[in-house]
Amino acid sequence: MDSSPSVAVQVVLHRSARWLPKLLRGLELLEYPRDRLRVRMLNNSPGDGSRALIERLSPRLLLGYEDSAEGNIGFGRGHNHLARQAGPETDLLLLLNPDTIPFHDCLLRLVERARSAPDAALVEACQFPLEHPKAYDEDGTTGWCSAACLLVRNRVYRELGGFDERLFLYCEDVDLSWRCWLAGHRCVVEPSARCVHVTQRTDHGKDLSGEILHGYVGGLFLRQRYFGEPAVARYRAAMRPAVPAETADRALSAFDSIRPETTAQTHPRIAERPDQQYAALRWNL
Amino acid sequence: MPPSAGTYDFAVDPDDPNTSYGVIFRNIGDGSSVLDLGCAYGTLGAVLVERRGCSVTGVDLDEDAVAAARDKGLEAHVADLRTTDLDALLGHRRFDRIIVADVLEHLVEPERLLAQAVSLLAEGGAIVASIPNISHIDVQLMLAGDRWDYVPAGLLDRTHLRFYTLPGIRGMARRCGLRLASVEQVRLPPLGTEIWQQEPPPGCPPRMLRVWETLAGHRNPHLTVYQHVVVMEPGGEPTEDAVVEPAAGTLDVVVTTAPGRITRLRDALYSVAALTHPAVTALVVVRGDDPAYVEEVRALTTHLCGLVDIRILVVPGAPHRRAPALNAGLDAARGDFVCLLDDGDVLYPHFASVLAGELTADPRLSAASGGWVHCRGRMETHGFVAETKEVAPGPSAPLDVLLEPDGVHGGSVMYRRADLDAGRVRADETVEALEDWSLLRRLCRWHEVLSVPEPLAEHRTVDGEERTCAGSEAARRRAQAAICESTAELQVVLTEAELRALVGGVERGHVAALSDELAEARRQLEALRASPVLRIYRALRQTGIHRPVRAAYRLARGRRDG
Repeated sequence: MDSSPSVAVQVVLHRSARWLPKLLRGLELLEYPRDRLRVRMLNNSPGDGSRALIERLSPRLLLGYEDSAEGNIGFGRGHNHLARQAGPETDLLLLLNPDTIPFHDCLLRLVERARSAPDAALVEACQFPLEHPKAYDEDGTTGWCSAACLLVRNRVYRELGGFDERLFLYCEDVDLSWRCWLAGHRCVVEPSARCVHVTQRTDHGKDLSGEILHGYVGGLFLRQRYFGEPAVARYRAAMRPAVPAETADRALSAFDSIRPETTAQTHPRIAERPDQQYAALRWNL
Repeated sequence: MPPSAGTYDFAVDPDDPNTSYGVIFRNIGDGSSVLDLGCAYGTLGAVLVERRGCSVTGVDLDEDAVAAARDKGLEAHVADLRTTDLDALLGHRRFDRIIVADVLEHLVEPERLLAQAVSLLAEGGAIVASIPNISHIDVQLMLAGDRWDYVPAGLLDRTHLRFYTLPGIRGMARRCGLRLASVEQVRLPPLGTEIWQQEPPPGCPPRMLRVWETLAGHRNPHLTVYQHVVVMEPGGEPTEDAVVEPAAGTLDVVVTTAPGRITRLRDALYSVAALTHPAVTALVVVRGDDPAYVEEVRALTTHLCGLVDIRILVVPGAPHRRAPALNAGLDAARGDFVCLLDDGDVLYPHFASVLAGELTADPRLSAASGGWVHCRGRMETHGFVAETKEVAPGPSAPLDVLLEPDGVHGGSVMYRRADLDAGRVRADETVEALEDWSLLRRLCRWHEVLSVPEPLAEHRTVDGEERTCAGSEAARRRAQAAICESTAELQVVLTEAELRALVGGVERGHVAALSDELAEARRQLEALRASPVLRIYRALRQTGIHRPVRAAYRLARGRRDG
């Protein structure tokens, strides 16, 4: 019997039909024992042609596809749904964005790192061609991992309850990473594992309004949860000149409805402004 | 005030893909029943009857226009689209396609008309609408000059009451229970619309064009969109619009490689696979005839099978000689557009979409160059690791870098097929460095090259490692001298005053006098031949008046040579 850990690849789709052909082909080309690999997709925008496209492409994968019965339920909730389907018997989850193409050896390298670093709960692939603009130590240890291409130890994911479903989009990965750190786990980047990610910056003409809005909501949420009211006030002051008043109002209103408790726990890896460069990109700070 | 008679009596060429009528024509199937709301003189309807075998019914407010439509054999009705009950007027018929071509923007309540149109659709039917795009750069430039001048027809037609961008169109459709099944665009280049074909408004200096393109282009992909042509279908879940890229064109990326660089080649090819542009082929040109390396390349391509089409060429000879490999790749290229990429360098996913879009939008351009990022780093077994990144060129003077030998990055340029066919895109095989600069410089002599400041590619160098065996400083100096010598006949520098005189000549229509003026300028400035000729081009770019001057310069040269 193959000793490779079982991996459930999960992708939350939202108006993603244009990305599917290359993503599916990239998954077909992944070097990994086929009987240890299962792909699940949840479509948050049913009726957008994704189902028909997948049927037409008929990828050579053990693939499950599901339309979200409640429409767009958000990124974190979608992944939690797929993780529940994977069940406790799955060793590892590979979270992938629809606009990615993993290199052929990406999964092998991520799994190898997970094996050699048993305290690492999250192992992030290096995004390509634009590397995710955040810092990590020489051994790959990092404050948080992006969920665009992320290997997650399923046991830890379940222990932590997965993503916080109050966050609709953006920053749920930072939150999960920080909860990992607080629970005594480690977050790492594996630079030899590479994955194409067509980021907002490299997608011509992409509408960034959703990213700006949800990024602000997430920024407020993280500050409230990990640093308390003064950090929220600082963030609000910083965002005031950076976004249109209407967007700021909407973000604040959304935040009020999901305002979390502030944790008393701290950790050296949890910083109010984790990476200047990333913060500038994501939150205009 | 109603438009004067004949204002909307346009000729229709259904085969021209860059007209709204051409796009609408393509979206109507053979034998369809068609309702043309705002049919004007019935010109499009007549073409649909003749070429598509459609049955066409037209409605328009203008009695003369309707009479003309009837003369063309159409069923046409005089009716006010703002108030008429169309269902009753048309006898409760239903239609496969309802055309609303440049009509909605004339109405106080366009959504009322759209809602009526929805009720007139047959099962599976759709509305095809063309709508002017108010965010076209020509309008922005007019506003920048504190003007808003209506014209008889076009973007600022004096009878327009509503103004749209694509998000506005999307919102209107949604409110009417419609989804955008497809979006296509008719594009006109900056200064290419009827607005600037008239007298340019005062207060808007020409150089503002480039500044505005740079600033606004970051957030607006529709700066050169003249009209959006949308196909709207009723109902369904809210979905992403299926945006059809405008005449995308096929792209060949010539990737040159040499033994020992398989990891670099892998990165280059994955970046090509990630391009969002449709129809891309990678032409991998292997320098030198090392069978083991060729086999390595073949094995690599199996990992990308189905992600991007890959062809492999082997060019025997010294692996460090890049020019023969570049030219072999160019000879083998069959795409509408071609670009060159060294192994190890990478393209960003939007590289091709941006540059092909620019070339498509402006047929006067021979090539388009993107900004780029210079990465210095180290090679690990798993690939390149960047240690420093520097964005070049700066947005204020992009052509400084593009046209100087030390700054050129041939991997961020996209060329047009026609120039390959004409032999204008060739690398100089006598040099052992700066091959892509020789190619670009030759092309730049008489052809338009656009520079987009936004970084679209990454040029990667490993400290302490030459990119080619012959890539030494001495080889670069030799190559630079040889390339400059081979293009020496162009070495002319014009002062700003002379430039302005030249422009004045063009603007006054004194083209015939230009050859003399140029000759004089050349005589006066012969002493300054040491300066690169291409500074002319850069200076022209900076003043924003390069196009007329360049045209005159070409003309003058042609007369002199002829």
